[in-house]
Amino acid sequence: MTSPLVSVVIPARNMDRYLTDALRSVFAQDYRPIEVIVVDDGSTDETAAVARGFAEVRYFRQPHLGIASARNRAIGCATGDFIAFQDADDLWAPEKLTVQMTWLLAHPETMYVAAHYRNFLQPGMPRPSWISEAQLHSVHRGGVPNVLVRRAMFERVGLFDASHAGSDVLDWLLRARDAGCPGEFLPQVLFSRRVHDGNRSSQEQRRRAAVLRTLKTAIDRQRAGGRRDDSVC
Amino acid sequence: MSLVNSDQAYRPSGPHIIYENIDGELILLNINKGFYYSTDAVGVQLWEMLVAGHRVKDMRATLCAGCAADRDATAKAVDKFIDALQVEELIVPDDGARHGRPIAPQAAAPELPFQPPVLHRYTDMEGLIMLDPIHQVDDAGWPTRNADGSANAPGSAPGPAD
Repeated sequence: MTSPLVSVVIPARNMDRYLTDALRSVFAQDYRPIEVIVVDDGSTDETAAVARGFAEVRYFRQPHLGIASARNRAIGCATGDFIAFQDADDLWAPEKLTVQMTWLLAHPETMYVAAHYRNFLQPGMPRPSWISEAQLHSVHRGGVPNVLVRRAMFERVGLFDASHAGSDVLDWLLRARDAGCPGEFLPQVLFSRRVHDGNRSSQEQRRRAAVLRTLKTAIDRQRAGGRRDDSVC
Repeated sequence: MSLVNSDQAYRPSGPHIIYENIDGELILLNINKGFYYSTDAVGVQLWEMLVAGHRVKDMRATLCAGCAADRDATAKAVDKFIDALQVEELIVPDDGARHGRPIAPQAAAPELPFQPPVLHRYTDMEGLIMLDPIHQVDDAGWPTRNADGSANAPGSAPGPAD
Protein backbone atom coordinates (compact mmCIF):
# COMPACT_ATOMS: atom_id res chain seq x y z
CA MET A 1 0.00 0.00 0.00
CA THR A 2 1.29 3.46 -0.88
CA SER A 3 1.96 5.71 2.06
CA PRO A 4 0.11 9.03 2.05
CA LEU A 5 1.90 12.21 1.11
CA VAL A 6 3.06 14.40 3.98
CA SER A 7 3.50 18.10 3.26
CA VAL A 8 6.21 19.69 5.36
CA VAL A 9 5.66 23.41 5.84
CA ILE A 10 8.52 25.66 6.92
CA PRO A 11 8.07 29.40 7.46
CA ALA A 12 11.41 31.19 7.34
CA ARG A 13 12.52 34.73 7.95
CA ASN A 14 16.24 35.52 7.96
CA MET A 15 17.20 31.97 8.82
CA ASP A 16 19.99 31.35 6.33
CA ARG A 17 22.35 30.28 9.11
CA TYR A 18 20.16 27.41 10.21
CA LEU A 19 17.85 26.53 7.35
CA THR A 20 20.29 24.12 5.71
CA ASP A 21 20.43 21.94 8.81
CA ALA A 22 16.66 22.07 9.23
CA LEU A 23 16.08 21.02 5.63
CA ARG A 24 18.69 18.27 5.78
CA SER A 25 16.91 16.84 8.80
CA VAL A 26 13.67 16.84 6.82
CA PHE A 27 15.14 15.15 3.77
CA ALA A 28 16.85 12.60 6.04
CA GLN A 29 13.44 11.29 7.09
CA ASP A 30 12.96 7.60 6.57
CA TYR A 31 9.36 8.30 5.55
CA ARG A 32 8.32 8.96 1.95
CA PRO A 33 6.56 10.50 0.12
CA ILE A 34 7.03 14.05 1.34
CA GLU A 35 6.82 17.48 -0.21
CA VAL A 36 8.71 20.34 1.40
CA ILE A 37 7.37 23.89 1.21
CA VAL A 38 9.39 26.88 2.40
CA VAL A 39 7.61 30.21 2.66
CA ASP A 40 10.08 33.06 2.95
CA ASP A 41 8.49 35.80 5.02
CA GLY A 42 10.34 38.73 3.50
CA SER A 43 13.87 37.68 4.44
CA THR A 44 16.69 40.12 3.81
CA ASP A 45 19.46 37.54 4.14
CA GLU A 46 20.32 34.50 2.01
CA THR A 47 17.32 32.42 3.05
CA ALA A 48 16.10 32.27 -0.55
CA ALA A 49 19.43 30.98 -1.83
CA VAL A 50 19.61 28.34 0.87
CA ALA A 51 16.07 27.11 0.19
CA ARG A 52 16.59 27.09 -3.57
CA GLY A 53 19.76 25.10 -3.05
CA PHE A 54 17.55 22.10 -2.35
CA ALA A 55 16.07 20.99 -5.66
CA GLU A 56 13.09 19.32 -4.02
CA VAL A 57 12.02 22.39 -2.03
CA ARG A 58 8.99 24.30 -3.23
CA TYR A 59 9.96 27.87 -2.41
CA PHE A 60 7.54 30.78 -2.07
CA ARG A 61 8.25 34.33 -1.05
CA GLN A 62 5.94 36.90 0.48
CA PRO A 63 6.36 40.33 2.04
CA HIS A 64 6.95 40.27 5.77
CA LEU A 65 3.49 39.38 7.06
CA GLY A 66 4.36 37.22 10.04
CA ILE A 67 4.74 33.56 10.79
CA ALA A 68 1.00 32.81 10.86
CA SER A 69 0.58 34.22 7.39
CA ALA A 70 3.61 32.28 6.16
CA ARG A 71 2.27 29.03 7.57
CA ASN A 72 -1.13 29.72 6.02
CA ARG A 73 0.47 30.38 2.65
CA ALA A 74 2.36 27.08 2.90
CA ILE A 75 -0.77 25.18 3.88
CA GLY A 76 -2.56 26.69 0.91
CA CYS A 77 0.17 25.38 -1.37
CA ALA A 78 0.33 21.94 0.22
CA THR A 79 -1.11 18.94 -1.61
CA GLY A 80 -0.72 16.24 1.04
CA ASP A 81 -3.48 14.89 3.26
CA PHE A 82 -1.11 15.28 6.22
CA ILE A 83 0.74 18.44 7.14
CA ALA A 84 3.84 18.58 9.33
CA PHE A 85 5.22 21.78 10.80
CA GLN A 86 8.91 22.40 10.93
CA ASP A 87 10.75 25.51 12.05
CA ALA A 88 13.67 26.84 10.04
CA ASP A 89 16.15 26.45 12.88
CA ASP A 90 15.24 23.08 14.40
CA LEU A 91 16.22 19.50 13.66
CA TRP A 92 13.91 16.55 13.22
CA ALA A 93 14.91 13.07 14.28
CA PRO A 94 15.16 10.79 11.20
CA GLU A 95 12.26 8.63 12.36
CA LYS A 96 9.97 11.54 13.19
CA LEU A 97 7.48 11.23 10.36
CA THR A 98 7.47 7.45 10.38
CA VAL A 99 6.65 7.29 14.09
CA GLN A 100 3.92 9.88 13.85
CA MET A 101 2.37 8.66 10.61
CA THR A 102 2.31 5.08 11.87
CA TRP A 103 0.41 6.27 14.90
CA LEU A 104 -2.01 8.49 12.99
CA LEU A 105 -2.81 5.83 10.43
CA ALA A 106 -3.60 3.40 13.23
CA HIS A 107 -5.80 5.94 15.02
CA PRO A 108 -8.11 7.52 12.47
CA GLU A 109 -10.08 9.33 15.17
CA THR A 110 -7.05 11.41 16.17
CA MET A 111 -6.67 14.64 14.24
CA TYR A 112 -3.13 15.53 15.23
CA VAL A 113 -0.11 14.28 17.13
CA ALA A 114 2.78 15.84 18.94
CA ALA A 115 5.72 14.38 20.84
CA HIS A 116 8.68 15.43 22.98
CA TYR A 117 11.84 17.37 22.24
CA ARG A 118 15.25 18.30 23.57
CA ASN A 119 17.13 21.55 23.38
CA PHE A 120 20.62 21.93 22.07
CA LEU A 121 22.89 24.91 22.27
CA GLN A 122 24.06 26.49 19.06
CA PRO A 123 27.76 25.54 18.83
CA GLY A 124 30.03 28.34 19.96
CA MET A 125 27.33 30.09 21.88
CA PRO A 126 27.44 30.33 25.68
CA ARG A 127 24.35 29.16 27.50
CA PRO A 128 21.94 32.09 27.71
CA SER A 129 20.87 33.15 31.19
CA TRP A 130 17.23 32.49 30.37
CA ILE A 131 17.68 28.76 30.19
CA SER A 132 19.12 26.71 33.01
CA GLU A 133 21.63 23.92 32.53
CA ALA A 134 19.01 21.40 33.63
CA GLN A 135 16.43 22.75 31.22
CA LEU A 136 18.93 22.77 28.41
CA HIS A 137 19.44 19.05 28.83
CA SER A 138 16.02 17.82 29.88
CA VAL A 139 13.19 16.47 27.76
CA HIS A 140 10.24 18.74 27.07
CA ARG A 141 6.79 17.99 25.83
CA GLY A 142 5.33 19.70 22.80
CA GLY A 143 6.91 22.02 20.30
CA VAL A 144 5.42 23.25 17.05
CA PRO A 145 7.95 21.23 14.99
CA ASN A 146 6.48 18.14 16.63
CA VAL A 147 2.99 18.78 15.31
CA LEU A 148 1.64 16.65 12.50
CA VAL A 149 -2.00 17.17 11.53
CA ARG A 150 -4.55 15.80 9.16
CA ARG A 151 -5.33 18.29 6.43
CA ALA A 152 -9.04 17.84 7.20
CA MET A 153 -8.42 19.59 10.49
CA PHE A 154 -8.00 22.91 8.70
CA GLU A 155 -11.39 22.47 7.12
CA ARG A 156 -12.90 22.12 10.59
CA VAL A 157 -10.82 24.69 12.44
CA GLY A 158 -9.69 27.13 9.77
CA LEU A 159 -6.21 28.51 9.28
CA PHE A 160 -3.99 30.38 11.72
CA ASP A 161 -5.35 33.75 12.75
CA ALA A 162 -2.70 36.39 12.16
CA SER A 163 -4.48 38.76 14.52
CA HIS A 164 -3.22 36.53 17.33
CA ALA A 165 0.39 37.24 16.42
CA GLY A 166 2.64 35.66 18.99
CA SER A 167 0.05 33.13 20.07
CA ASP A 168 -1.54 32.13 16.79
CA VAL A 169 -0.63 28.46 17.28
CA LEU A 170 -2.21 28.42 20.72
CA ASP A 171 -5.30 30.16 19.34
CA TRP A 172 -5.54 27.55 16.58
CA LEU A 173 -5.14 24.68 19.05
CA LEU A 174 -7.80 26.11 21.34
CA ARG A 175 -10.15 26.41 18.38
CA ALA A 176 -9.31 22.82 17.49
CA ARG A 177 -10.16 21.77 21.00
CA ASP A 178 -13.46 23.63 20.84
CA ALA A 179 -14.20 22.01 17.48
CA GLY A 180 -13.72 18.58 19.04
CA CYS A 181 -10.46 17.68 17.32
CA PRO A 182 -8.65 15.18 19.54
CA GLY A 183 -4.88 15.16 19.61
CA GLU A 184 -2.25 12.94 21.13
CA PHE A 185 1.21 13.28 22.61
CA LEU A 186 3.58 10.49 21.71
CA PRO A 187 6.31 9.61 24.20
CA GLN A 188 9.20 9.72 21.74
CA VAL A 189 11.66 12.60 21.45
CA LEU A 190 11.29 13.59 17.82
CA PHE A 191 13.01 16.93 17.35
CA SER A 192 15.83 19.04 18.73
CA ARG A 193 15.23 22.69 19.42
CA ARG A 194 18.15 24.95 18.68
CA VAL A 195 18.85 27.51 21.40
CA HIS A 196 20.39 30.57 19.84
CA ASP A 197 20.34 34.36 20.00
CA GLY A 198 17.45 34.67 17.64
CA ASN A 199 14.98 32.76 19.78
CA ARG A 200 15.91 34.41 23.02
CA SER A 201 12.33 35.45 23.35
CA SER A 202 13.36 39.07 23.65
CA GLN A 203 9.78 39.87 22.75
CA GLU A 204 8.51 37.68 25.53
CA GLN A 205 6.45 40.38 27.18
CA ARG A 206 4.54 40.96 23.97
CA ARG A 207 4.10 37.25 23.56
CA ARG A 208 2.74 36.91 27.08
CA ALA A 209 0.22 39.65 26.42
CA ALA A 210 -0.75 37.91 23.20
CA VAL A 211 -1.27 34.60 24.98
CA LEU A 212 -3.47 36.19 27.63
CA ARG A 213 -5.57 37.85 24.94
CA THR A 214 -5.89 34.53 23.16
CA LEU A 215 -7.08 32.96 26.41
CA LYS A 216 -9.60 35.76 26.85
CA THR A 217 -10.89 35.03 23.36
CA ALA A 218 -11.14 31.35 24.22
CA ILE A 219 -13.05 32.13 27.42
CA ASP A 220 -15.48 34.36 25.53
CA ARG A 221 -15.95 31.63 22.95
CA GLN A 222 -16.63 29.06 25.65
CA ARG A 223 -19.17 31.32 27.28
CA ALA A 224 -20.90 31.93 23.99
CA GLY A 225 -21.04 28.20 23.44
CA GLY A 226 -22.48 27.56 26.87
CA ARG A 227 -19.48 25.59 28.09
CA ARG A 228 -19.02 25.54 31.83
CA ASP A 229 -15.83 26.50 33.55
CA ASP A 230 -14.72 25.30 36.94
CA SER A 231 -15.51 28.08 39.38
CA VAL A 232 -13.31 27.83 42.43
CA CYS A 233 -14.61 30.83 44.29
CA MET B 1 -11.79 27.68 57.81
CA SER B 2 -10.13 30.75 56.45
CA LEU B 3 -6.35 30.75 56.29
CA VAL B 4 -6.29 34.47 55.74
CA ASN B 5 -4.61 36.74 58.26
CA SER B 6 -5.96 40.26 58.08
CA ASP B 7 -2.49 41.77 58.54
CA GLN B 8 -1.02 39.66 55.77
CA ALA B 9 -0.04 40.92 52.36
CA TYR B 10 0.36 38.63 49.37
CA ARG B 11 2.10 38.60 46.02
CA PRO B 12 1.93 36.51 42.85
CA SER B 13 3.75 33.26 43.53
CA GLY B 14 6.41 33.77 40.90
CA PRO B 15 7.24 34.71 37.35
CA HIS B 16 5.27 31.70 36.17
CA ILE B 17 2.10 33.60 37.04
CA ILE B 18 1.24 36.05 34.29
CA TYR B 19 -1.84 38.21 34.17
CA GLU B 20 -3.49 41.10 32.45
CA ASN B 21 -6.65 43.13 32.78
CA ILE B 22 -8.39 42.74 29.45
CA ASP B 23 -11.57 44.71 28.95
CA GLY B 24 -12.25 44.75 32.67
CA GLU B 25 -11.69 41.04 33.16
CA LEU B 26 -8.52 39.75 34.76
CA ILE B 27 -6.95 36.81 32.93
CA LEU B 28 -4.31 34.85 34.84
CA LEU B 29 -2.17 31.99 33.60
CA ASN B 30 -0.03 29.59 35.57
CA ILE B 31 2.59 28.81 32.96
CA ASN B 32 3.88 25.78 34.83
CA LYS B 33 0.53 24.07 35.15
CA GLY B 34 -1.17 25.37 32.05
CA PHE B 35 -4.20 26.37 34.12
CA TYR B 36 -5.78 29.71 33.38
CA TYR B 37 -8.27 31.80 35.28
CA SER B 38 -10.56 34.75 34.92
CA THR B 39 -12.19 36.99 37.42
CA ASP B 40 -14.67 39.84 37.38
CA ALA B 41 -14.51 43.52 38.27
CA VAL B 42 -14.40 42.95 42.02
CA GLY B 43 -11.72 40.31 41.56
CA VAL B 44 -9.78 42.75 39.41
CA GLN B 45 -9.98 45.35 42.15
CA LEU B 46 -8.74 42.90 44.77
CA TRP B 47 -5.95 41.59 42.54
CA GLU B 48 -4.72 45.09 41.81
CA MET B 49 -4.63 45.87 45.53
CA LEU B 50 -2.88 42.57 46.18
CA VAL B 51 -0.10 43.14 43.67
CA ALA B 52 0.30 46.68 45.02
CA GLY B 53 1.15 45.13 48.38
CA HIS B 54 -1.96 45.98 50.32
CA ARG B 55 -2.89 43.93 53.33
CA VAL B 56 -6.08 41.94 53.57
CA LYS B 57 -7.62 44.35 56.04
CA ASP B 58 -7.10 47.19 53.56
CA MET B 59 -8.79 45.19 50.85
CA ARG B 60 -11.74 44.49 53.11
CA ALA B 61 -12.04 48.14 54.05
CA THR B 62 -11.87 49.31 50.48
CA LEU B 63 -14.56 46.93 49.33
CA CYS B 64 -16.78 47.85 52.28
CA ALA B 65 -16.44 51.52 51.46
CA GLY B 66 -17.43 51.12 47.86
CA CYS B 67 -20.61 49.15 48.02
CA ALA B 68 -23.71 48.42 49.97
CA ALA B 69 -22.93 45.31 51.98
CA ASP B 70 -22.39 44.51 55.60
CA ARG B 71 -18.83 44.38 56.79
CA ASP B 72 -18.88 40.66 57.62
CA ALA B 73 -20.18 39.62 54.22
CA THR B 74 -17.55 41.68 52.46
CA ALA B 75 -14.75 40.40 54.66
CA LYS B 76 -15.81 36.82 54.08
CA ALA B 77 -15.89 37.36 50.34
CA VAL B 78 -12.41 38.87 50.37
CA ASP B 79 -11.06 36.04 52.51
CA LYS B 80 -12.67 33.42 50.30
CA PHE B 81 -11.15 34.99 47.21
CA ILE B 82 -7.69 35.20 48.78
CA ASP B 83 -8.06 31.62 49.97
CA ALA B 84 -8.92 30.47 46.49
CA LEU B 85 -5.93 32.28 45.01
CA GLN B 86 -3.69 30.56 47.56
CA VAL B 87 -5.17 27.14 46.98
CA GLU B 88 -4.62 27.60 43.27
CA GLU B 89 -1.01 28.57 44.06
CA LEU B 90 -1.42 31.88 42.29
CA ILE B 91 -0.27 33.88 45.32
CA VAL B 92 1.94 33.41 48.35
CA PRO B 93 2.24 35.45 51.55
CA ASP B 94 4.49 38.44 51.15
CA ASP B 95 6.39 39.05 54.33
CA GLY B 96 8.56 41.76 52.89
CA ALA B 97 8.19 45.44 53.73
CA ARG B 98 6.31 46.06 50.53
CA HIS B 99 2.95 46.91 52.00
CA GLY B 100 0.98 49.31 49.92
CA ARG B 101 -0.10 52.66 51.22
CA PRO B 102 -3.32 52.64 53.20
CA ILE B 103 -6.21 53.26 50.91
CA ALA B 104 -8.32 56.27 51.74
CA PRO B 105 -12.04 55.53 51.70
CA GLN B 106 -13.70 57.06 48.69
CA ALA B 107 -16.21 59.48 50.18
CA ALA B 108 -18.15 59.79 46.97
CA ALA B 109 -18.11 56.09 46.17
CA PRO B 110 -21.46 54.91 44.88
CA GLU B 111 -23.35 52.46 47.02
CA LEU B 112 -23.37 49.62 44.54
CA PRO B 113 -24.87 46.23 45.34
CA PHE B 114 -22.06 43.98 46.53
CA GLN B 115 -21.13 41.17 44.19
CA PRO B 116 -18.67 38.66 45.66
CA PRO B 117 -15.72 38.11 43.33
CA VAL B 118 -15.74 34.90 41.33
CA LEU B 119 -12.58 33.09 40.23
CA HIS B 120 -13.13 30.88 37.22
CA ARG B 121 -10.62 28.15 36.50
CA TYR B 122 -9.95 26.50 33.15
CA THR B 123 -7.89 23.33 33.28
CA ASP B 124 -8.35 22.04 29.78
CA MET B 125 -5.30 23.61 28.20
CA GLU B 126 -2.29 22.07 29.86
CA GLY B 127 -1.11 20.18 26.83
CA LEU B 128 -1.87 22.99 24.45
CA ILE B 129 0.31 25.50 26.23
CA MET B 130 3.15 22.99 26.15
CA LEU B 131 2.82 22.80 22.40
CA ASP B 132 3.44 26.51 22.13
CA PRO B 133 5.16 27.23 25.43
CA ILE B 134 5.75 30.55 27.08
CA HIS B 135 9.24 31.03 28.39
CA GLN B 136 10.02 32.53 31.73
CA VAL B 137 12.45 35.29 31.09
CA ASP B 138 14.61 34.84 34.13
CA ASP B 139 17.36 32.54 35.28
CA ALA B 140 14.89 29.73 35.80
CA GLY B 141 14.27 29.50 32.07
CA TRP B 142 11.03 28.13 30.76
CA PRO B 143 9.03 25.36 32.33
CA THR B 144 10.30 21.87 31.94
CA ARG B 145 8.26 18.78 31.75
CA ASN B 146 9.97 15.46 31.69
CA ALA B 147 8.66 12.77 29.45
CA ASP B 148 6.81 10.19 31.48
CA GLY B 149 6.96 7.62 28.77
CA SER B 150 3.21 7.42 28.35
CA ALA B 151 0.97 8.95 25.77
CA ASN B 152 -2.02 11.06 26.74
CA ALA B 153 -5.46 9.62 26.62
CA PRO B 154 -7.28 10.33 23.35
CA GLY B 155 -9.14 13.58 23.58
CA SER B 156 -6.65 15.20 25.87
CA ALA B 157 -5.02 18.14 24.29
CA PRO B 158 -1.44 18.01 23.25
CA GLY B 159 0.07 21.36 22.97
CA PRO B 160 3.21 22.44 20.47
CA ALA B 161 6.82 24.95 21.02
CA ASP B 162 8.19 27.58 18.82
